[in-house]
Amino acid sequence: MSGNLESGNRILSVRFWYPAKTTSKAASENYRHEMKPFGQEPLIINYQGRAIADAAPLSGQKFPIIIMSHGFGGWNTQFSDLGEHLATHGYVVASIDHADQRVEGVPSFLLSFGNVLTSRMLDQRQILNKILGQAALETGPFIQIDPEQVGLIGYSMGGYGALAASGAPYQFDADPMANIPEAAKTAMQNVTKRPSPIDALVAISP
Amino acid sequence: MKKRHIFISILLALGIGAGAVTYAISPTGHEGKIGEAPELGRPGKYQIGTTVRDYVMPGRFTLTT
Repeated sequence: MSGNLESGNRILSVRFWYPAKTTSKAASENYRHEMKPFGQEPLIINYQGRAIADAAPLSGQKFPIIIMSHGFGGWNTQFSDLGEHLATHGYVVASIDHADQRVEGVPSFLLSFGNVLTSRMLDQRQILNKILGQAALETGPFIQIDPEQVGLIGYSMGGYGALAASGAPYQFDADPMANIPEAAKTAMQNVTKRPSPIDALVAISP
Repeated sequence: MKKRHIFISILLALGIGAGAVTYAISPTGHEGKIGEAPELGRPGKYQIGTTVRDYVMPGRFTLTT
Protein backbone atom coordinates (compact mmCIF):
# COMPACT_ATOMS: atom_id res chain seq x y z
CA MET A 1 0.00 0.00 0.00
CA SER A 2 1.72 3.17 -1.13
CA GLY A 3 0.81 6.81 -0.60
CA ASN A 4 1.27 9.59 1.90
CA LEU A 5 -0.18 10.14 5.32
CA GLU A 6 -1.86 13.38 6.34
CA SER A 7 -2.72 14.18 9.94
CA GLY A 8 -5.73 16.29 10.90
CA ASN A 9 -9.21 16.43 12.39
CA ARG A 10 -11.56 13.60 11.51
CA ILE A 11 -15.19 14.73 11.88
CA LEU A 12 -17.90 12.11 11.82
CA SER A 13 -21.65 12.30 12.17
CA VAL A 14 -23.41 9.92 14.54
CA ARG A 15 -27.13 9.09 14.42
CA PHE A 16 -28.74 8.24 17.78
CA TRP A 17 -31.93 6.30 18.52
CA TYR A 18 -33.13 6.21 22.11
CA PRO A 19 -36.17 5.55 24.34
CA ALA A 20 -38.18 8.77 24.43
CA LYS A 21 -41.26 10.56 25.61
CA THR A 22 -43.32 11.22 22.50
CA THR A 23 -46.86 11.97 21.49
CA SER A 24 -48.53 10.02 18.74
CA LYS A 25 -49.20 13.27 16.88
CA ALA A 26 -45.50 14.01 16.36
CA ALA A 27 -44.19 13.28 12.85
CA SER A 28 -41.56 10.57 12.54
CA GLU A 29 -38.14 11.14 11.03
CA ASN A 30 -37.58 10.81 7.30
CA TYR A 31 -34.26 9.15 6.42
CA ARG A 32 -32.66 10.29 3.19
CA HIS A 33 -29.39 9.19 1.64
CA GLU A 34 -27.98 9.91 -1.79
CA MET A 35 -25.68 7.27 -3.27
CA LYS A 36 -23.40 8.27 -6.11
CA PRO A 37 -22.11 5.04 -7.68
CA PHE A 38 -19.19 5.57 -10.05
CA GLY A 39 -20.37 5.85 -13.65
CA GLN A 40 -24.04 5.59 -12.74
CA GLU A 41 -26.91 7.93 -12.01
CA PRO A 42 -27.23 9.00 -8.35
CA LEU A 43 -29.62 6.87 -6.33
CA ILE A 44 -31.72 8.54 -3.65
CA ILE A 45 -32.89 6.39 -0.76
CA ASN A 46 -35.76 8.02 1.05
CA TYR A 47 -38.02 6.42 3.63
CA GLN A 48 -40.02 7.11 6.73
CA GLY A 49 -38.78 5.87 10.09
CA ARG A 50 -40.62 5.43 13.38
CA ALA A 51 -38.46 7.64 15.62
CA ILE A 52 -39.39 11.23 16.44
CA ALA A 53 -36.69 13.79 15.70
CA ASP A 54 -35.14 15.30 18.83
CA ALA A 55 -37.83 13.87 21.12
CA ALA A 56 -37.18 14.28 24.85
CA PRO A 57 -35.41 11.22 26.23
CA LEU A 58 -37.23 9.05 28.74
CA SER A 59 -35.99 10.18 32.14
CA GLY A 60 -35.26 8.25 35.30
CA GLN A 61 -33.88 5.12 33.63
CA LYS A 62 -30.50 3.95 32.38
CA PHE A 63 -30.11 1.92 29.21
CA PRO A 64 -27.21 0.04 27.58
CA ILE A 65 -25.39 1.83 24.77
CA ILE A 66 -24.87 0.09 21.43
CA ILE A 67 -22.47 1.44 18.81
CA MET A 68 -23.39 0.53 15.22
CA SER A 69 -20.81 0.59 12.45
CA HIS A 70 -21.59 0.14 8.75
CA GLY A 71 -19.64 -1.55 5.96
CA PHE A 72 -17.44 -0.11 3.22
CA GLY A 73 -19.34 2.72 1.51
CA GLY A 74 -22.32 2.50 3.86
CA TRP A 75 -23.98 5.23 5.89
CA ASN A 76 -25.39 5.71 9.37
CA THR A 77 -29.08 5.18 8.62
CA GLN A 78 -28.41 2.10 6.47
CA PHE A 79 -29.60 -0.09 9.35
CA SER A 80 -32.14 2.34 10.78
CA ASP A 81 -34.71 -0.47 11.12
CA LEU A 82 -32.34 -2.33 13.45
CA GLY A 83 -31.37 0.83 15.34
CA GLU A 84 -34.98 1.85 15.87
CA HIS A 85 -35.97 -1.70 16.82
CA LEU A 86 -33.26 -1.94 19.48
CA ALA A 87 -34.25 1.46 20.89
CA THR A 88 -37.86 0.28 21.30
CA HIS A 89 -36.49 -2.54 23.46
CA GLY A 90 -34.57 -0.16 25.75
CA TYR A 91 -31.19 0.57 24.20
CA VAL A 92 -29.48 3.81 23.23
CA VAL A 93 -28.08 3.19 19.74
CA ALA A 94 -25.32 5.31 18.22
CA SER A 95 -24.75 4.66 14.53
CA ILE A 96 -21.53 6.09 13.09
CA ASP A 97 -21.32 7.52 9.59
CA HIS A 98 -17.72 6.69 8.68
CA ALA A 99 -17.77 9.00 5.63
CA ASP A 100 -15.82 6.59 3.42
CA GLN A 101 -14.16 8.27 0.47
CA ARG A 102 -16.14 7.93 -2.75
CA VAL A 103 -14.79 5.34 -5.18
CA GLU A 104 -14.19 6.57 -8.74
CA GLY A 105 -12.13 3.74 -10.19
CA VAL A 106 -9.42 1.34 -9.08
CA PRO A 107 -6.87 3.84 -7.63
CA SER A 108 -9.47 5.60 -5.51
CA PHE A 109 -10.90 2.22 -4.46
CA LEU A 110 -7.51 1.16 -3.10
CA LEU A 111 -7.06 4.47 -1.31
CA SER A 112 -10.55 4.45 0.15
CA PHE A 113 -10.27 0.82 1.22
CA GLY A 114 -6.87 1.47 2.82
CA ASN A 115 -8.38 4.27 4.87
CA VAL A 116 -11.22 1.99 5.95
CA LEU A 117 -8.67 -0.64 7.03
CA THR A 118 -6.88 1.85 9.24
CA SER A 119 -9.83 3.86 10.53
CA ARG A 120 -12.78 1.61 11.44
CA MET A 121 -11.64 0.41 14.84
CA LEU A 122 -10.26 3.84 15.72
CA ASP A 123 -13.58 5.47 14.84
CA GLN A 124 -15.49 2.94 16.93
CA ARG A 125 -13.31 3.21 20.02
CA GLN A 126 -12.80 6.98 19.91
CA ILE A 127 -16.47 7.79 19.37
CA LEU A 128 -17.50 5.33 22.06
CA ASN A 129 -15.07 7.00 24.47
CA LYS A 130 -16.49 10.43 23.63
CA ILE A 131 -20.07 9.24 24.12
CA LEU A 132 -19.22 7.62 27.46
CA GLY A 133 -17.50 10.86 28.48
CA GLN A 134 -20.68 12.77 27.66
CA ALA A 135 -22.96 10.27 29.39
CA ALA A 136 -23.04 11.95 32.77
CA LEU A 137 -22.61 15.51 31.53
CA GLU A 138 -25.19 16.32 28.89
CA THR A 139 -28.88 16.39 28.31
CA GLY A 140 -30.30 14.47 25.39
CA PRO A 141 -29.79 10.72 25.04
CA PHE A 142 -26.43 10.79 26.82
CA ILE A 143 -28.03 11.16 30.22
CA GLN A 144 -29.76 7.78 29.73
CA ILE A 145 -26.59 5.80 29.02
CA ASP A 146 -25.36 3.14 31.40
CA PRO A 147 -21.57 3.19 30.84
CA GLU A 148 -21.24 -0.26 32.35
CA GLN A 149 -23.29 -1.89 29.58
CA VAL A 150 -21.69 -1.38 26.19
CA GLY A 151 -22.35 -3.24 22.93
CA LEU A 152 -20.95 -2.96 19.42
CA ILE A 153 -22.60 -4.14 16.19
CA GLY A 154 -20.47 -4.04 13.06
CA TYR A 155 -21.41 -5.04 9.54
CA SER A 156 -18.79 -6.15 7.01
CA MET A 157 -15.83 -3.73 7.38
CA GLY A 158 -17.64 -2.41 10.45
CA GLY A 159 -17.47 -5.97 11.76
CA TYR A 160 -13.79 -6.19 10.88
CA GLY A 161 -13.14 -3.04 12.91
CA ALA A 162 -15.42 -4.22 15.71
CA LEU A 163 -13.33 -7.33 16.30
CA ALA A 164 -10.21 -5.28 17.10
CA ALA A 165 -12.20 -2.56 18.89
CA SER A 166 -13.48 -5.29 21.21
CA GLY A 167 -10.04 -6.68 21.95
CA ALA A 168 -9.17 -9.18 19.20
CA PRO A 169 -5.60 -8.55 17.99
CA TYR A 170 -4.84 -7.86 14.33
CA GLN A 171 -1.80 -9.56 12.80
CA PHE A 172 0.10 -6.38 12.05
CA ASP A 173 3.02 -8.24 10.45
CA ALA A 174 0.80 -10.06 7.90
CA ASP A 175 -0.81 -8.75 4.69
CA PRO A 176 -2.55 -6.37 4.27
CA MET A 177 -1.55 -4.82 7.62
CA ALA A 178 2.15 -5.21 6.87
CA ASN A 179 1.76 -2.67 4.04
CA ILE A 180 0.11 0.02 6.12
CA PRO A 181 2.37 3.02 6.86
CA GLU A 182 4.01 2.72 10.26
CA ALA A 183 2.46 5.82 11.84
CA ALA A 184 -1.09 4.65 11.02
CA LYS A 185 -0.28 1.18 12.29
CA THR A 186 1.09 2.58 15.55
CA ALA A 187 -2.11 4.57 16.11
CA MET A 188 -4.12 1.34 15.77
CA GLN A 189 -1.76 -0.63 18.01
CA ASN A 190 -2.01 2.03 20.71
CA VAL A 191 -5.77 1.55 20.85
CA THR A 192 -5.66 -2.25 20.88
CA LYS A 193 -3.25 -2.17 23.84
CA ARG A 194 -5.87 -0.47 26.03
CA PRO A 195 -8.58 -2.57 27.71
CA SER A 196 -11.81 -2.58 25.74
CA PRO A 197 -14.94 -1.22 27.46
CA ILE A 198 -17.10 -3.33 25.12
CA ASP A 199 -19.13 -6.06 26.84
CA ALA A 200 -21.03 -7.50 23.87
CA LEU A 201 -20.06 -7.78 20.20
CA VAL A 202 -22.07 -8.70 17.12
CA ALA A 203 -19.93 -8.89 13.97
CA ILE A 204 -22.13 -9.41 10.90
CA SER A 205 -20.15 -10.79 7.93
CA PRO A 206 -16.85 -9.35 9.20
CA MET B 1 -39.27 -58.38 16.27
CA LYS B 2 -35.57 -58.20 16.91
CA LYS B 3 -34.11 -56.45 19.94
CA ARG B 4 -32.44 -53.80 17.81
CA HIS B 5 -35.76 -52.92 16.19
CA ILE B 6 -37.28 -52.43 19.63
CA PHE B 7 -34.29 -50.30 20.64
CA ILE B 8 -34.55 -48.10 17.50
CA SER B 9 -38.32 -47.71 18.05
CA ILE B 10 -37.73 -46.51 21.62
CA LEU B 11 -35.05 -44.07 20.47
CA LEU B 12 -37.35 -42.74 17.76
CA ALA B 13 -40.21 -42.24 20.19
CA LEU B 14 -37.91 -40.44 22.65
CA GLY B 15 -36.53 -38.22 19.86
CA ILE B 16 -39.97 -37.22 18.64
CA GLY B 17 -41.06 -36.55 22.22
CA ALA B 18 -38.00 -34.40 22.96
CA GLY B 19 -38.52 -32.44 19.73
CA ALA B 20 -42.16 -31.78 20.51
CA VAL B 21 -41.33 -30.60 24.05
CA THR B 22 -38.54 -28.30 22.76
CA TYR B 23 -40.92 -26.81 20.19
CA ALA B 24 -43.59 -26.21 22.80
CA ILE B 25 -41.35 -24.57 25.41
CA SER B 26 -39.43 -22.30 22.99
CA PRO B 27 -42.19 -20.33 21.30
CA THR B 28 -39.99 -17.48 19.94
CA GLY B 29 -40.12 -18.75 16.39
CA HIS B 30 -43.75 -19.80 16.11
CA GLU B 31 -45.99 -18.17 18.69
CA GLY B 32 -48.60 -15.66 17.56
CA LYS B 33 -51.00 -15.60 14.67
CA ILE B 34 -50.23 -16.65 11.11
CA GLY B 35 -48.62 -13.74 9.28
CA GLU B 36 -47.61 -12.02 12.51
CA ALA B 37 -43.94 -11.13 13.08
CA PRO B 38 -42.08 -13.55 15.37
CA GLU B 39 -41.38 -12.34 18.89
CA LEU B 40 -37.86 -11.10 18.12
CA GLY B 41 -39.19 -9.00 15.25
CA ARG B 42 -41.82 -7.23 17.28
CA PRO B 43 -41.16 -3.68 18.47
CA GLY B 44 -40.50 -3.20 22.17
CA LYS B 45 -42.48 -1.14 24.62
CA TYR B 46 -40.61 2.18 24.30
CA GLN B 47 -41.45 5.16 22.13
CA ILE B 48 -38.26 6.36 20.42
CA GLY B 49 -36.49 9.54 19.48
CA THR B 50 -33.60 10.23 17.14
CA THR B 51 -30.95 12.90 16.88
CA VAL B 52 -27.59 13.53 15.21
CA ARG B 53 -24.30 14.69 16.73
CA ASP B 54 -20.92 15.41 15.13
CA TYR B 55 -17.68 14.26 16.74
CA VAL B 56 -14.22 15.70 16.12
CA MET B 57 -11.24 13.39 16.48
CA PRO B 58 -8.00 15.35 16.28
CA GLY B 59 -4.68 13.96 15.07
CA ARG B 60 -6.12 11.28 12.83
CA PHE B 61 -4.17 9.95 9.86
CA THR B 62 -5.57 9.76 6.34
CA LEU B 63 -3.90 7.96 3.44
CA THR B 64 -3.57 10.24 0.42
CA THR B 65 -2.06 9.84 -3.03
